[in-house]
Amino acid sequence: MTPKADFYSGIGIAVFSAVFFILSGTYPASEQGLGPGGFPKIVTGTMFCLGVLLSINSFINMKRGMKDIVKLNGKDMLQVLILAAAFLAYIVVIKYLGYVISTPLFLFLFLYLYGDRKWLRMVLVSIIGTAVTFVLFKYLFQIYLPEFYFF
Amino acid sequence: MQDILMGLVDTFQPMTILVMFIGIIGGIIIGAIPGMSGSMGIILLLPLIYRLDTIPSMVVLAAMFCGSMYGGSVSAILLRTPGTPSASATVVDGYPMAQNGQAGKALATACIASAFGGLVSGICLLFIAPQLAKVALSFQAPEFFALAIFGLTLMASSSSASTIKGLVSGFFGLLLSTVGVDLISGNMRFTFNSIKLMGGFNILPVLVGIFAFAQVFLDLSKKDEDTVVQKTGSLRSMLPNRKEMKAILLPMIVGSVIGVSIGIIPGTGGAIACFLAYEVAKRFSRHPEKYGTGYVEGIAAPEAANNGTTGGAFVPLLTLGIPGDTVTAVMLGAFMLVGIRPGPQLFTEASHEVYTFFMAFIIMQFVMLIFGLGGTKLWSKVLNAPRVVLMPLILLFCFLGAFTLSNSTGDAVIALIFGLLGYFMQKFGYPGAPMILGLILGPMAEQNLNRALLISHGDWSVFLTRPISLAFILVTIASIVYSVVSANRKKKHPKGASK
Repeated sequence: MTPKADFYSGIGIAVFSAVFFILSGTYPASEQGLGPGGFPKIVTGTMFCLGVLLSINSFINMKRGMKDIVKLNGKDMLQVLILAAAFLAYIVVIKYLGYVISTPLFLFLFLYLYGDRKWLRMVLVSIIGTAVTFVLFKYLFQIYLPEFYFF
Repeated sequence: MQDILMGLVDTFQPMTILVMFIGIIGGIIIGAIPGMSGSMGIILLLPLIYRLDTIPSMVVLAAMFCGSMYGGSVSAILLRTPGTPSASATVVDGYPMAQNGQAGKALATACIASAFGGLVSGICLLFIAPQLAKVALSFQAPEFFALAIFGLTLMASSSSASTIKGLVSGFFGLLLSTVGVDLISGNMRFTFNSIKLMGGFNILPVLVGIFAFAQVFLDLSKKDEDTVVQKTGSLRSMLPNRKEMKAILLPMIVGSVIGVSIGIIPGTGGAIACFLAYEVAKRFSRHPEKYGTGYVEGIAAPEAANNGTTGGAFVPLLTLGIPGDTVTAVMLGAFMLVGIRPGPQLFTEASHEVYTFFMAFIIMQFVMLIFGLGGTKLWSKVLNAPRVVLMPLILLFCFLGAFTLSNSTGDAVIALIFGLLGYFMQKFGYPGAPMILGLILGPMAEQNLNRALLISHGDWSVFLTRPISLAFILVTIASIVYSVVSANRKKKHPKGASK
């Protein structure tokens, strides 16, 4: 149970749905059928009701003294965001450095973020993981993988 | 009959057999690792299925599904941690057997029961699915719209403790499906002047993000725990003797029937079937007092049931395009990527492929039996593999899967965004499967709603005046009411809920 988080997420869902409901109203009306905005209006209208319902429900639970069991741990979230940023950097870098150079660097960084400190294993996993996937995808599946392209 | 025979012959094509082996072995390994499920296995297969023809790609996905169902029992028996939710009931008798030095026998029983359940479900699939498809051929726009909403609400109300959260997830998926060019009017919707959003959201990056990236992110906060893996013994000592085989026959039959029946109902799945089968088999047993103490019958019933759901879940998936559980929801997305559009038309447009798939499904149960029994020692070794090594490789495969789609990194960025969304959704109890289903069923729902209103000149009562459409709507309402009532009951009686 996460009544406090549900209360706020319910409000968030209601606001989000309201914005998209208004946006749906900007599409031209149709003489026949629902028109381009009709279906999104039904969907966002329902989502708005669900968001409000979720907030009311969790508000009642909060009043009954129910507390959040699952909480977002700041350290965990930071780790997730760092990994996501590292992955985003990998996606950008791979275009220039190519798969073969950027992938072992990313895998090594990933293992470090994951808490591994066995350096030999980290190096081996990074190199072997890259080599195996490169051969598998490039030669067996015949998929183009980004190559070194710096100049 | 001719279709069945031709399907049988085509099943033995070298490529089909090869991918069946890959799917079964991969499925057992994925299923054995706690926290990994058939959904993750299917996502990891996506780069492979791009290179395959229709039949092998369908077969490898189904083999992964079946293998993961059995694989879940490996960690349930050896670690007391079910590899998949469907193996939850196997822990009750499996782990005590392992503690009594009979881990090998428990695994062998689980494998035999899994193959038996899968075989029964495959035979049912072969005979039930074509009949249901014939009925579904008479569906028109109102029925298809009602069916889409029925499938979505069933999945939403059963995949989360909170029906509201499940529905929010499902309707968010429907909203995502409206992004891009409106196929009827040609208008742009929610693209915010972005060229990349004009084509809408492709299912693959969303799948990869919600099910694979999110899992990797969730796993970051877990550390490798010291696991005590029970020893399995030799193959000869593992196999149940004649007396034990006789004892597990009835639980296997009970489990299979329950598994198939539960699997056919959309929105259910192996987790429900395994506990129900366990309870029913216990009631039928001559020795109900032995259940829970490390008894072979207590493994046979749930394992036959969870594999029984596999074939059952394919019935609504292939005939109506409505998945039976989370794994088949992911599979539906994978089928569409390789050009297979499940639904009643599939049986007329691609009957050869469908019947070959049915026969392959039956054959793969024997393959699973052979690999399952033969590789018991190997599967127990999988449990010792450090997650720190597995996770980066999984992430790399996910990237490659998303990259393969259009040979661009754009889809990998979308997968990453949905991975973060999936992480927060899981943290706060919003299930991912209804969202995926909403994204898949959105176009079907919208187009058929429009068609139905055009036919009826804007009269909404068209959905209530047609019997099949009305039936779907009534069942939809009933399922929502039932899940709300049962959730309230669980809140009032938490002890009962834990069972």
